Amino acid sequence: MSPLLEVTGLRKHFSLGGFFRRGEVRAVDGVSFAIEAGETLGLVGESGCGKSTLGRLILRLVEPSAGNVRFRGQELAGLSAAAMVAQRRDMQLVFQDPFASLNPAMTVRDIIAEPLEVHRIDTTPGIDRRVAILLTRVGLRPDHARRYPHEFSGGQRQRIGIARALALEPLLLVCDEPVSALDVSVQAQILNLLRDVQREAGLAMLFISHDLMAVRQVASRVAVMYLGRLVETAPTAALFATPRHPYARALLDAVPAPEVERRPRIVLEGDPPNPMDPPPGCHFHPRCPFATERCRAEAPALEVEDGHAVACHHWRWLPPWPGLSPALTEPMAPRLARLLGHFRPIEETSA
Amino acid sequence: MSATIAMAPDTRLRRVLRQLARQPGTLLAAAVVLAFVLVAVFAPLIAPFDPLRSNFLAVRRPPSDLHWLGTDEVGRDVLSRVIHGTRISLMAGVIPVLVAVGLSVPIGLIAGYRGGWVDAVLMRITDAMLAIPFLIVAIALAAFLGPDMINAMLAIGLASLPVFIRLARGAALAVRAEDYVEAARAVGASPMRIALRHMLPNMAPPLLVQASIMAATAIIAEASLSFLGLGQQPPAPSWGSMLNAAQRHMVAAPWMAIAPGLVIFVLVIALNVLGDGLRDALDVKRH
Repeated sequence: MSPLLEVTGLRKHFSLGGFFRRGEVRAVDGVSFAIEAGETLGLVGESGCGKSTLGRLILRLVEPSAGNVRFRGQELAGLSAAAMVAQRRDMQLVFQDPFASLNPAMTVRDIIAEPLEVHRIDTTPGIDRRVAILLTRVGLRPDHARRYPHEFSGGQRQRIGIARALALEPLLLVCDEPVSALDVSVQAQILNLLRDVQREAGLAMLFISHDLMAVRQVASRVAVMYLGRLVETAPTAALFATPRHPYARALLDAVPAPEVERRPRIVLEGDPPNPMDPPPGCHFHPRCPFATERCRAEAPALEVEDGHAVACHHWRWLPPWPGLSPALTEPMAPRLARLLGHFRPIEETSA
Repeated sequence: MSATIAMAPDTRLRRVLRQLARQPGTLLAAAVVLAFVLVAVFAPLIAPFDPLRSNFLAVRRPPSDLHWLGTDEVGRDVLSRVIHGTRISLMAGVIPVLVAVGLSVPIGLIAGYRGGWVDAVLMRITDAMLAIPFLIVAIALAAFLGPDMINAMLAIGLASLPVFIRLARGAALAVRAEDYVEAARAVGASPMRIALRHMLPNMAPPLLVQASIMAATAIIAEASLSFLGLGQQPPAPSWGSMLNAAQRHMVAAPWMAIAPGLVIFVLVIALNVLGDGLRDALDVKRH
């Protein structure tokens, strides 16, 4: 049984046309992974590391420079336009910006109905009924269908976007930073909604985010990306317990937490290197506290042990990781949980 | 709000009208334009005299009880001529705009949507057209097509094409980069559907404003062409040809020029204000 989605050696190089100086950005530089049916893979990394491009490559909204994307065993590259449309029925996208991803000139009904109309799923009354059901499913009211996107809050718009993505009952949902544009109080609601629909429909999800805590909530496996390459892939629990790559450690150390006592942390300095001119060897070596001569010269390959893959020459010899801040691992105090619970009614009444 | 789920087909229209109602200036401009349209439609009923009949006993008479706006150099009633000229001048404002929008929007959409060499070729041609002054092109085209009102309107429309193509292409480029266009692609919508349902409605505001400005410009251009004898042919009245005739009598009979000049001025201002207001009313509050 092959996985639902299989990505091998995927690359996307954008050439930058300067007249005197031609450059090339390796946004995605040889990425391979797989997603099983019904599984949620979290993809994390800093902004600009190629996460979003990877998501669009999988959906073939961007044409890859090299590599393969197999969906249900079917190679997507080279499919005719009509064959690709047929594949799109089973793979959908949730966008980051709920303000830009809904056409302001269309009613909510028309936005959610569009996938159904494009794939000729139902008659007009049938589509109206489905839209009403979808709206209820994502926590909105059927009579919201007549309104326009600008009448809704950010969280509600994201619900509309999710309803559109669910309309075709896809097998794979690519969520590109679905909560990072939302208020913190709304983020949890949208994450819960995504997790619920994922479980109910048994769909597979690629959850792209720079927010590790959001990924921990929804993903069963996590892939860490740095400058176009995957540096670590592991089951969520394993990654949060024993991150092997120094970059993954630094990301986990950077999660904001109310600190009781100062712990030794890896603090990343500077920005990620210019992707037009990536450092040789391991891309992470200029920012890595453990880098050696070998890291500067030779790019590490992904090494798999116990289902936990890492691309680092030295991961076996790194000092032990002190662990996630206790404030992030212990359950929330009941009073705080109750306080947060009050945010939900506010969002729902602000239509 | 009623409880029915049925879509009211006019919700967008109603929303735009509601926005318009909040702008008294736009409403006034719309009323002025509407008044001109009514005058054009009912010209034969309103005009006190036959606009073509000359009266050599009443040549270049100043405004009086009988001839409210005076008479021209062959004794025709200026008011009646202005009223009948409204038909031609309104058409001169509308037809070139229809020609320009009808041709430029598909070209701009293709250039903006396809990009690449298609865009480059279309844009270089447009740039070349843009390099020639608008009125010169219109005059040359009108002269080439022959002195006739319809030809003049066609010439004005074609001469204004490059501006509209540039605008449509720019709007298409901007809209194409929007997430909702990518969303439509992700859903599997055809390029045609994306162009018509997602891009065109969101390209409308800048085009609408340009169209209202263009209508005003076209009215002036028609006046210029008629002034040069390339537009409306005598004795049929148009505001431009009336100005043309009046310039020889500016000192002796200034009323001949004041009336058509004033209505051109008022209509052009009204169209510009209306265009501005429409843009604001159409601008969906996105955030």
